[in-house]
Amino acid sequence: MLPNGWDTYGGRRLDLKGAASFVDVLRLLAHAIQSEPRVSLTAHGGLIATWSTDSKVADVVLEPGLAPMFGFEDGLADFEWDGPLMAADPRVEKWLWQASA
Amino acid sequence: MGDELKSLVDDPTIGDETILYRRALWGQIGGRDKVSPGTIPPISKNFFLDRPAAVAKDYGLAGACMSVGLASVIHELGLDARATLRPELLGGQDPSEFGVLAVKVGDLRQLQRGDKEPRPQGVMAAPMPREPWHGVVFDLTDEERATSTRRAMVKVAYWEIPLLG
Repeated sequence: MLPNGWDTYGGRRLDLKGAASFVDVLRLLAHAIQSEPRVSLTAHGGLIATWSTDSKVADVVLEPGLAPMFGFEDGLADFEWDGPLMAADPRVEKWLWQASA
Repeated sequence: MGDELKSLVDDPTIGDETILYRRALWGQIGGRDKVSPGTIPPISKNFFLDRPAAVAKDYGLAGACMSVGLASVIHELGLDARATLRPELLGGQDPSEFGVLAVKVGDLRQLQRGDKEPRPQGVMAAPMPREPWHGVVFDLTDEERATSTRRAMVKVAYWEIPLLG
């Protein structure tokens, strides 16, 4: 496991409890995910899963002790959205499906 | 290091034309395995995460902020961006895991989110023993830089030393 300071800027090591919740969050979204994400640590020891195509990027972020967040960006449409992740939100499903194509 | 925390205050003596360097590593974007050999990855908002306030405190700084290298100081020392990748600064990690991003101070001070909402960033020097060029960038409107603000930073940053797949 990466140690504290893994990013050379004092980034926290992975919060293991949060990692288990992160997997649960991704399971809830599994039906809308078409490809493997790139997964990286946050500076707080949380996790970010990112899916991207040439024009679209979606990510799910879970910081220790906080609710999961979702972000989407469509470069062609010059559109971006960030907010709490609601797995049943049809927009989240659509955006995740598009960015993970 | 004293007990007094240094407040984060935008330093007007650091000119808008000043270039800031920021180390970037493959680990911040999930590793290099998904990139074709020889490919430079797109700049990611993950490269602009703030150092959490609790960690910044350990470095004597009063709030969440992002470490950078002031190119002006680096150049005064007769060095270039590669100085920020000296092995002693990388915590034992392989230097090939790192690249260096560059961004102009003026672009950060005038930063706008995608919806044109201003999200100005401040910059100040915060020299460290092994990095006399060390400085920090901080959000002047939020306690910790929001995703939309980091996305805006992607648009004004460029590779000085690219990560190479």
